[in-house]
Amino acid sequence: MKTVNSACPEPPELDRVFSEGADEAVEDHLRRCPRCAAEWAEIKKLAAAGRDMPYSPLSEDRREILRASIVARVSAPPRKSLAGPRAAVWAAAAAVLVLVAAAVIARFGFESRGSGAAARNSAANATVFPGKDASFTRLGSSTDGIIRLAEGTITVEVAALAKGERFRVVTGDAEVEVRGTLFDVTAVSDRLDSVRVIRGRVEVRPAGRTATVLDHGQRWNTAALSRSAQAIVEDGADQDQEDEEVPEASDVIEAAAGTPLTAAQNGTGPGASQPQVRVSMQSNTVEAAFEKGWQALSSGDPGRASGLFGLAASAAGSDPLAEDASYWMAVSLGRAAEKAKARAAFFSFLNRYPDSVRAGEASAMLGWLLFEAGDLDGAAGRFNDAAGDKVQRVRESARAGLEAVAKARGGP
Amino acid sequence: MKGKVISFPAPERGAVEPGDDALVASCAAGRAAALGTLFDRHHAMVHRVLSRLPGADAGDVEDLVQQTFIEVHRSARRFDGRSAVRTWIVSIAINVVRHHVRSEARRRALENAAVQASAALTPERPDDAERVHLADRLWKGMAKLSQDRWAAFVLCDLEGMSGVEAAEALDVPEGTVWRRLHEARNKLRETLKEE
Repeated sequence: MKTVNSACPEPPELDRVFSEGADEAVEDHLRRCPRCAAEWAEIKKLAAAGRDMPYSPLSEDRREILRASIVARVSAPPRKSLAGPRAAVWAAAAAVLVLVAAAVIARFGFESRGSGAAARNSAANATVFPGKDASFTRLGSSTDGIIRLAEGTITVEVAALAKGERFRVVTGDAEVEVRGTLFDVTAVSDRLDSVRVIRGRVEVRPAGRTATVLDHGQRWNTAALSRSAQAIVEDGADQDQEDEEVPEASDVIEAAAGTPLTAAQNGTGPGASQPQVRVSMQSNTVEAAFEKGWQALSSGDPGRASGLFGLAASAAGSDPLAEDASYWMAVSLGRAAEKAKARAAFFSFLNRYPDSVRAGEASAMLGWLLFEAGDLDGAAGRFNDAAGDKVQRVRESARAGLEAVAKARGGP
Repeated sequence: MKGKVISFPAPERGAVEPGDDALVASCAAGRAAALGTLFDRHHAMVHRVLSRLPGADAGDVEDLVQQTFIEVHRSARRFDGRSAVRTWIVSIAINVVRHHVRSEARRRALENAAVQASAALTPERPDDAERVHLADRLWKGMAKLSQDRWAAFVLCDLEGMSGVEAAEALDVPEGTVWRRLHEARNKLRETLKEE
């Protein structure tokens, strides 16, 4: 019959102590209590057995394929046709998830709140003035401050941040990144509604395509998204003037000149002066990235091309160009002898664009890559997928692939 | 970053690695790139935890990892920052497991598969025999644990999480974690003693 010494830890307590570390009193008890010592030894043996359990981590190939598949699954749904007028593309932009990344470009003077080391903390360096009924939460770290805005308007003042520090306001569908400015952000039902820059200058980069520069006094709002454009309302400008915004060059690709679109109405409330309206849309950075990728591939630099196509694919969102960019990224990786990445890229492409006119060709290429990697079953499956392609060259490649698989398996 | 197939991140100024919280916030904003980075950071832990699911083969585990990260993306807007992102992701993985093994039939199939899988373990050296034997018995014992006990054992004993972290991941009080862990260990110790 088991007896419990009154000094013995309760059973779950011994388990807790084993996991979190024994203190002196418990260690002393274990030396004096054979029953607890035996229990302790058994727990220890169990823990050792747990550590000895076999585990096979993901191979690099599998990891890349899994990653690509996950990212493809959560990305914007594919569009089947590459064709279509540019107007349709812009119209699609209205449905695209909008990300706004705003970065202060100009060196405008402003009062910095706080000083010294404490003031260099981005979160501490941001002062939030919530409007009535504003609902927001502070997230992030000391070097990467985030305000998660769900509803209402907040005015945020962010003093100069140290190098490497960031501060952002995030809504359910957008992100505003700032660095030393004063601005309002309004969310409605967890969606970004408007951004008004009071001081400083920001670059607004909607996900996928257009980037817009907001100067102090300018406002960005979503009202015009339904008309396929971002609207900027600028106080003091000439209403009839449709002007191009000249954005900062992006980090990776140089944006072409802006394309003026339709005018938008001012969305400000009572008391606002009648603004002059100017709407602009940055040139198609997706096309620019794609074009540069194509140039790199043509000039024999597939490694660089794959990066540029990848950028175009990721930035394109639901733009039909994303399909082409994804395909050529995979091809570029293959030409760059990045076999594992190429396999994952083709896998991702076929997952995302199963109805693509290039699906057969991609399947055949993936088949050969899998064949080279020794995955005969996988290769055969891809060659079979490509065997009925409309293009003779693809069908021939698939047939050759199936023959190679059969031969490798020891067949005739 | 090494091994990335698709460079999804949009051009950003500065070369600052975003924190996990920021990545979740970006996921909430619909950025697949952010999910890719979260995957890079946490897939190994998620894969390890899910690999401890008795009877799940490599394909099952990959499916569960995929489901976990897709759910991370889907749930990002509900992340409130009260727990570490790592813990939050583990909690999602545990929930994915709960859904996966919900049906008793599937549970029984997993148990059978676990027995078959464990039978394939072979010692590499003679002195490994005892350890392999223990690991084999432990594997079988884990197949018999309830989901709650299994999760407590995997998180605390195999993943080395603290009681606070495990409690957050399992959404239970810390005391409940220790009770479940105690029960799991007792069951497993009984299994280890069986011949």
